[in-house]
Amino acid sequence: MATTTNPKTRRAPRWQVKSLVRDWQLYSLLVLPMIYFLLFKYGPMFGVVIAFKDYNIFQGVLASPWIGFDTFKEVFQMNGFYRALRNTLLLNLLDLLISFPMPIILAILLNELRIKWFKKGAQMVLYLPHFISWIIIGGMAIQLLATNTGIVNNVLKSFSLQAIPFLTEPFYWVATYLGIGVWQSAGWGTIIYLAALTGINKDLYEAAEVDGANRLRKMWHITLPGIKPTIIILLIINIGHMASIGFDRPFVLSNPLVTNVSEVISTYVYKIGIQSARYTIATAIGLFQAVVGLIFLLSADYISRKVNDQGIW
Amino acid sequence: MKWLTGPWSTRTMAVLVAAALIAGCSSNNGGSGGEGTGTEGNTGTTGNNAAPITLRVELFDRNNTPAGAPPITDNFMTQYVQENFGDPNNIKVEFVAVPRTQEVEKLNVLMAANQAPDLVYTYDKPTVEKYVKDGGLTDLGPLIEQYGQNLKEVLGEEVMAYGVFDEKQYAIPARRVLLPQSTTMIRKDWLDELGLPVPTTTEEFHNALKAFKEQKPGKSGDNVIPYSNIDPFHLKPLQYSLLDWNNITDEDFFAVPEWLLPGNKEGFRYINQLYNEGLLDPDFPLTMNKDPQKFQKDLINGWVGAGTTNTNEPVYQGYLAEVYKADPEAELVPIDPFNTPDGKYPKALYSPNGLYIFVPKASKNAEAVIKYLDWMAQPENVIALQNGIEGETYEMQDGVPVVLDNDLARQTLYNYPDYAIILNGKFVSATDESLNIAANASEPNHKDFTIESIEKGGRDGVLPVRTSTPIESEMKYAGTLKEKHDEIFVKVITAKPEDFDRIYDSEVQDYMNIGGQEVMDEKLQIYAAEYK
Repeated sequence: MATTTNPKTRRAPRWQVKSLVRDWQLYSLLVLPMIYFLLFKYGPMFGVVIAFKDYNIFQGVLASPWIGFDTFKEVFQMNGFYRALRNTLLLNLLDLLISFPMPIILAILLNELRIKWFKKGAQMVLYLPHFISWIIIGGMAIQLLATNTGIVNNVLKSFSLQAIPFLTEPFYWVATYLGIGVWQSAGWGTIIYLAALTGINKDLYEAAEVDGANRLRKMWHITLPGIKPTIIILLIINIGHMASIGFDRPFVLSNPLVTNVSEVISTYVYKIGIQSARYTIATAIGLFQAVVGLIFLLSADYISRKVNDQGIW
Repeated sequence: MKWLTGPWSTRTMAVLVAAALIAGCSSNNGGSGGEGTGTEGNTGTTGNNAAPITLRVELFDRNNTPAGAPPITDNFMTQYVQENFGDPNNIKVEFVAVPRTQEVEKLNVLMAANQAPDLVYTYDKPTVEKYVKDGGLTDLGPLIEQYGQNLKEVLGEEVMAYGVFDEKQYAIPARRVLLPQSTTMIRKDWLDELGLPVPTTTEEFHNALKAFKEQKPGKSGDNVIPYSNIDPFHLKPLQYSLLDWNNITDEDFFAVPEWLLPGNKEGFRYINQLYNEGLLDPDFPLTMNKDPQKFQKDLINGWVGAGTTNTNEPVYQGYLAEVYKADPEAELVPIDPFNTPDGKYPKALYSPNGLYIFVPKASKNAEAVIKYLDWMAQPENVIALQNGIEGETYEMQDGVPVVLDNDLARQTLYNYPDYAIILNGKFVSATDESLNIAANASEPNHKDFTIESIEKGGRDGVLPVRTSTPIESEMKYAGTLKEKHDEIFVKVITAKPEDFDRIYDSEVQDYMNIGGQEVMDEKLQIYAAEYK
């Protein structure tokens, strides 16, 4: 959507009725997503006010007494909150280091494949895990990786090797968490890069060939720079998500032995805010998360602008 | 394509629930609209012949309707209610389905949106306390005095007292007919194979587990799990038998966290020993409180030697039959082996109340709610709502309704407790307990198992202490502490023996620091105030 509208606004810097009339189809296409954002993203923002109130469900949002920043003070005094925040940032950072480059590498490798059917087949196999629900993945993880009864450890034991506590010791749990994440999402992540790769001018490769560049050189000097804008935009967006984390993955994979590393903000909010019906706390933490996310996003964008002269808008 | 079923079923359910809610709301609006015009019309002509009231009643949707059965909001039960209670009283009874697994979350949302039914209920006491504190409930005391004599009789004073908060009857607790929480069972055929007695002491039980582990009886092989279904709730009988009861006052029992009760640490050292001897399910931390199916599957596979389950659960959830189907040699018997040095067999009992029924303050139909519950408390209606139609779904034998083994009975009665909400468990007599046990042993093939489970699950039972003051710190910390409790439980049991003391002490200290101390202090105060 953004790419189709941007050039137009540049061509006609002042708002003109004429362009509105001429491109009315494009604008009307825009209406639906706009309504979506207004209804589901901007509308509920009104509810943020709960974070500053002693919200009583029988009095309603407006009539509940105003308590200012008391809830935030309470949140910042909770031991569990810092643990959840630390784990969220840590898991996201590791995820960024390990899971982010994977789709890029995969996409470049896939791009190099010559045999059509093999390429299609490989892509297919790589995408599939993306469609499996985390609940199922959690069940599979236990079946395969349980310390005493999992298939992998049974095999290890049959070679008289030590069992590996994949799910029950914090260090291994984090590794398992990251590994499963890569397996689940890397293939799907390649789609966007593969799309970007098709946009690279073929002449460049031919010219490089004439100059005697080998494959690695071509990858390094043509392919990677070709998808650099995409990589940077995705990186900034990912950094913007540093403070927020999905619920399913940590929730499904965690168990009481590793709570120290597996309790993240989303699971914490679920337990403290939703299960105990303390909506004020849940909202306050959500707002905090959004603010931190915004700061991360803006600073990543700022740095990227300084270094690369390229940002998200 | 199998992996699609998970997300799909939840999605379909969400849509169905949403549809049900929308249907509920809109038809209610229609109803009240009709009511308005009706009264307007009436005031002109007859005066007091009012239009029907619409009474909205919460109904758990367990998503377990058998194939071919009518929808839960329009079946024998709802029609019986409408014909026998609604029509004579000029009330239209409308059931509002709420998904069982999300009842608290859903109820909170309905309450906040001011769309809650007139009659709502939950099992969750902190939720009720929160509503009381927030001033959202109707005081039902005066209405019960006026319209609820049958109800009072069936529930009894002791049960009614559980619904008193801040000295007002804000809730009506259901009466729990049977109090046992859990019962242990063991593979009798394995014991026979190894020439061991049915254990009657902890020591004999321990020996049986060791023999199971070493000799792998039956079809278990290397997968043998001597004792399974390990979680805080189901390990209570063993844990309670290891507590030092002579040094625990009622006050301690109510207020002090289990981790600090005399004897608890040594008790868990023993459980830790069982774990390190390989007698407990080795990977229980991965599925504890998350996947109850695992225990059932292992049991049906013939790997499990003994396990503690909710009393009679193997019968009413049907997995006992599965075990026998998978292995005709198998024989499971209820046992009660965990003894104290004094020869007692203490175990936790449920308090005699079940779910809490209450009326939101915004409801205008509190009177109709009490009339409805009072109608439900009449013996003939209890029998009908719990057993269906005489001669078709049940027969009376020796004063006890016995459910018939036919399709109609299965399709009519699979969720009867959700309609007969004032009772938890089948109820025949307020005076003769054995009739009630007999009535609950309604599965003809496993009658003995049920009766024995109930008897053994209740022996030397310890009732929880009842207080009526809302415990505010508990409302605040319940989620955190519950999680910490599970964490300690898992960590101390799976610890290496040499690390046990260190882990136990530091974890329990942590528990106290993150709210345990605060809850304990408040509970001590409340106990002192209520039991002067």
